[in-house]
Amino acid sequence: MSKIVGIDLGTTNSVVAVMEGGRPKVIPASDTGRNITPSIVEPVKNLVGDVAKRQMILNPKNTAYSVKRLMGRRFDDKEVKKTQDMVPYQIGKGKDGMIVLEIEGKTYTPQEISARILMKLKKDAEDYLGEEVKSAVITVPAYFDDSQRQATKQAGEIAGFKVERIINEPTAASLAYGLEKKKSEKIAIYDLGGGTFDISILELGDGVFEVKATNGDTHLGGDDFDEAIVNYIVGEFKKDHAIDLKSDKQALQRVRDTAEKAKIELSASQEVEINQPYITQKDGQPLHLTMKLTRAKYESLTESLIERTLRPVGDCLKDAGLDPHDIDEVIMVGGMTRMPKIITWVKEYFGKEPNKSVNPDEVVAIGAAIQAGVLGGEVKDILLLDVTPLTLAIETLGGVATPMISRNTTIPTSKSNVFSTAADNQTQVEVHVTQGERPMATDNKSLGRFILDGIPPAPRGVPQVEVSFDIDASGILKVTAKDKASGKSQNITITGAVGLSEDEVDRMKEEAEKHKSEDKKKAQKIEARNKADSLVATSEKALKEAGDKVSKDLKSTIEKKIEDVKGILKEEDFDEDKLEKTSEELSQELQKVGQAMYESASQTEKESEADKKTQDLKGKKGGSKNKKKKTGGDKVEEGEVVE
Amino acid sequence: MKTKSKKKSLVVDLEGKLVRALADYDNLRKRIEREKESFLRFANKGLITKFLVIYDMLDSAQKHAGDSGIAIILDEFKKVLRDEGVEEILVKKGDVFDEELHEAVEAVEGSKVNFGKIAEVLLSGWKFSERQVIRPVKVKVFRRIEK
Repeated sequence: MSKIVGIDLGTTNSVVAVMEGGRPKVIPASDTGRNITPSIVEPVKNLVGDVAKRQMILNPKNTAYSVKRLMGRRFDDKEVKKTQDMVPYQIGKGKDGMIVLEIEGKTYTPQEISARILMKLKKDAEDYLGEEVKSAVITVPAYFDDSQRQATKQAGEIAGFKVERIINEPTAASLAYGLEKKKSEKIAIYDLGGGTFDISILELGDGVFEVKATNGDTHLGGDDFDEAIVNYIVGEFKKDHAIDLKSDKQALQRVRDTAEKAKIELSASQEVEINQPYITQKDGQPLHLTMKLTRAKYESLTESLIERTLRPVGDCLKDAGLDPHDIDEVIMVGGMTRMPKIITWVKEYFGKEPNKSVNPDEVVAIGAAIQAGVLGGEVKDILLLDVTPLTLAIETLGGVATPMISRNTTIPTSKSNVFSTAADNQTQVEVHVTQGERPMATDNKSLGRFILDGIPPAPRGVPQVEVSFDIDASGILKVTAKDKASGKSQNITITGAVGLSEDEVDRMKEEAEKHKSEDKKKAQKIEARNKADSLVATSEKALKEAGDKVSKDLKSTIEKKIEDVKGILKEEDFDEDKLEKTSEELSQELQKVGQAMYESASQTEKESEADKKTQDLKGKKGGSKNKKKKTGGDKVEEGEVVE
Repeated sequence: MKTKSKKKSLVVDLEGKLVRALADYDNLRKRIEREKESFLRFANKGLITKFLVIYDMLDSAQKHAGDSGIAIILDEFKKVLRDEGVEEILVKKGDVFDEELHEAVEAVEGSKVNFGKIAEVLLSGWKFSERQVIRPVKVKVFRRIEK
């Protein structure tokens, strides 16, 4: 059976998506590689999308856009009159008083024009999937009446689709967030797109979405926000140079482009620099446009626009007979909802964090694809796979949480690593399993611990303890530690490694983010301590092995330095710089031991053996003696277990 | 009896393996997606588009200054782009407007002989050698005369 695609047929832009491997995927346009296609059609030369947009200004009477505003409407409709005042193409009266577009002596129904857009999306989908696409789910605004829905369905049929279903845009957005799985919810969908604003209230009961109320502003969108920035730039430039950039079409075009770019950048940064050198000339001298626009200024410029969404939202809630706090979920749709001020405004108004994780330009098409997947039976067939919400780790030398299975890994899965001991003759290791994103084990949630003993005595770093993590499909974690030499193994089974409440996960993730820099410092400190510890161990060993081959003076100097380092390390909150300096001094002195041994060896016949020993000493790295019972930080080898 | 329980355990075993295989696939998919994302992020197209803005600025500076040094810089710039498989869309005044390669940003009144032809090139356009347009040439075009 061929795939069913989901299509968001928008006023300004359209998007097509499909279920692939059980997940929705937005299909890029084959000509531009972009995920969105402008809803613009030149029917005579049959240009659709970006190419139609590029020639629009030359061919205004022949280029149809915003046709969605006309779908299924009669010629005497008030909205038609409004649209005619806005667009350069001619709208006429057709069969049964319905509207038609009059282009070069021919008439086109809005359905035919929309069908051209759908045909392009169909072809893009077929190019992407490599198979014929026959069916589609198409979305419409919740306020569309029967005639408008019928017209949309016809458009799909003209394009060669079997229209499996027409669904409401807010419903599609809710599906994209998986809200149909909840029992009963009241959902508000705030949709601020390129040219229109829609607010809808849905009520979910028994898996069915019911539209309680809708409202909006059919002439408010992203373009108005761009215009506000353009006016500001032009105004400032006029103040500085007494030149009106609006009278220079070429300059104005550049200001427009730069304004849109600034708008997008201001969603992420607090300030943007607007630089357009050689924007125009005055008395034969070039003039440059350079200014800064802060987010605060942008917000004040567009405050009135954001406020224009206030009344429709209030009216919509009133119609639904609800208060803002009755709403369980708020969903953001449309590119403009990326603006931080709008997010804050919505959050404050409804008193809850809005859903905004799905790309707001694509969320409707994604929901339509999910609906298509359900109808095609594809969604049902997919085995639902769970993921680990937080990183699972084990504690290693110095209290570091060493990740074994990272966050968001699909389960069941297994992973193993080989660890070693931290001290000589260490016969047991403790395996401490933690869950969380913080680098230190103590800051994460402890899931359990156990001890593997009976490791044959050996120098530190030699034993190989393989620790494996295995999570089965139901989220049960089994941690096994096995000593490769003796074959002894020990394990622990932990339930609930996956089952964390959403709040818990969010809180832990937030905490991790908050403590990032502090954690980094902590980790650095521990690393410094481990390094110094290991240096002390090496030095002590070197002195012991060198015996009387080194002078008493050197021996006492080194012993003194060792004590110095130990002294610094006694303090929990030691001075890192001081430690580094003292360690360096110790390491310098230590080199003399090697030198002394080499010299003494060359005088005797044991030359080669002594030389080797010196190198061994210098090259050795490792943990300390005071960290017994901990699994060593020295990784002998790393490897995944292949089943 | 024995064979029955054997088969049963085999089914359990295979089921476990199937789920594991699916999970493996899913993890692989995630990894590829992550890799693809980072690849795309640094992919040439985005970077080139950004550098083209600087080229535009240099180009407009050159139009004012007519400096021989800047001319060399611009040539070098184009050479680097060419090495990356990017070429300028060649267009001149009087060429016929082609929406596949050009974007009309302004229309000017023309006469019967020149309508639909390019009146002025405002901003250079670029494409990959295999034809995908990175940025169309922004042009001023003679408008067709009203009938």
